[in-house]
Amino acid sequence: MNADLDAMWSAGLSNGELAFPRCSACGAWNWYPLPQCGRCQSSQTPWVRVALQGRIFSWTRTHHDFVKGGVLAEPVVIALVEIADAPEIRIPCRQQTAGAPPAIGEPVNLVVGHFEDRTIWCFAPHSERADTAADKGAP
Amino acid sequence: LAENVINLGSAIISGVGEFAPVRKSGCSAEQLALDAIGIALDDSGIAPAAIDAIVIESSLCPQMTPVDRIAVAAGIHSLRRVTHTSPIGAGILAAVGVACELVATGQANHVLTYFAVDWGTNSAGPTEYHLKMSAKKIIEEPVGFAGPPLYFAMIAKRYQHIHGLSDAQMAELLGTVAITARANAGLHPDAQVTKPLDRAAYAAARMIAEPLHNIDCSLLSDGAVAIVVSRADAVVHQRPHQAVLRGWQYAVDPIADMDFYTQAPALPWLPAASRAAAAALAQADLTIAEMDMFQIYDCFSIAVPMQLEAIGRIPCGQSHAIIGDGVLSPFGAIPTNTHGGLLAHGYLLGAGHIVEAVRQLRREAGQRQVPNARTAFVGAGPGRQYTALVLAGQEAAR
Repeated sequence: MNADLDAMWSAGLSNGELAFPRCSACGAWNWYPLPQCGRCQSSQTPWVRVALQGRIFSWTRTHHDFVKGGVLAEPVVIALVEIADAPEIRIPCRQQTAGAPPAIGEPVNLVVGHFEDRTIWCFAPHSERADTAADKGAP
Repeated sequence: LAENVINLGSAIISGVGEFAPVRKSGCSAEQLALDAIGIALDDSGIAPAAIDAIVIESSLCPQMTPVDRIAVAAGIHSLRRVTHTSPIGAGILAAVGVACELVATGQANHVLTYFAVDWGTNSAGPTEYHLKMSAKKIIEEPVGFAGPPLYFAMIAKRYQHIHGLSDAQMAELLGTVAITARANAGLHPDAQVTKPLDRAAYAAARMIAEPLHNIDCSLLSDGAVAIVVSRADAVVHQRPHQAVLRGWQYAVDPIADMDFYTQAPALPWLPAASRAAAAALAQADLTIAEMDMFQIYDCFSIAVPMQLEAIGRIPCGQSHAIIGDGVLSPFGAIPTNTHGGLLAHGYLLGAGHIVEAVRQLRREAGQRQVPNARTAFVGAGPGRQYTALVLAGQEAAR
């Protein structure tokens, strides 16, 4: 299960696609993944693709590097973003381009960003053009 | 339901011991635990062989201070019951609840619970604890979302948004909690950090993750606590005021541990804390207004208003209006974390909060004594799980 999660998440980042496990029987999203659906106990929970759109649930601007330790050269805004197609799911995202913090409730686009050796999900200001690109699965 | 409620009155908290929290002790967690156990046994007046049950937290204790080694080293060789409760703070408090039930139901005469931590020496401990959870490692850490300060910063921002507080109002609320914790610790002989804090020092403190400064975050500590619960007719050291558990409850939300700080539907609310508090108070036949003090898990300053609201002591969203200067002091309207809590006394993950409640109810708290202390609410979680203890002071029969 852990290896599965790691593989699915990495693949999604590589392809610029976001997907989450959803119960085929009752439709509940299962996130983080469990061995079976927590609502109806079905074992059929395939990963289902969602649009790259979300909404800011909350955010913080961190001045400390919690992964490597020490003070960050520049503070970084990290947000918890609710997925538009699956509002009960939230993922942590980094602000794509450093700037003013977002507002809670603000719609955002989800984009893949590259920071040092890491490829991660980021949030960017909402735009219709990006939505269209995401719907077509463009990188 | 009433038929199922155990009468806890026959169980007395007869001994408490503490290895006072320090940043670096030079001791192993096992040594810290054994030191606290020795003090607790002396406080209770019983020999190690009199202990016939041990109850401990289920996550850190089995690794850092396992019963098989601790019991042998402490000379405890008459065990009839060994039980583990649930992880970290809520489990440390639940161990006291289970210990009292073992005594009250006649399964044991003297029950020991203990907790030791070396996260002062091993300062990566808290973040490592969380990153052992697979989804946090895979999904969260690469983004830089790693560790408790970020969880509570995110919750604090959400709390601020929902209640419409300005940045200045939020800083005022959190600052009041941090400043009072430090002042309370200043009245404790063994607190880890006692240097007084004022508004200017709070505002100038290093920002960690907005809106949390470094002094809004728990200390990191080495330390230990041990507690002995005894059958009332087996208590050796009779005191004018004894501490008893009048009611307790463990509650847990239907959400996996690794999910809570990102996926919990009700953030920033703490539904488990609300349920646990209500059930513990009902068992004790007391109301939240009748609690003379609150010893609650202050891993971050924001956790104090969140819990006081969740347990019903402050109406939802009113903390900013109610928690003024001195309100949380031992002599204020809502005495809270009168030893300084995790923010200033030391990071004993809630174990120190229990000891403080016992000392207060025994009227042994010296210059920080809550006047006429008769009842104490002790709570820890605060997340998917929560344990609420309602303790009371009992005057010795004359």
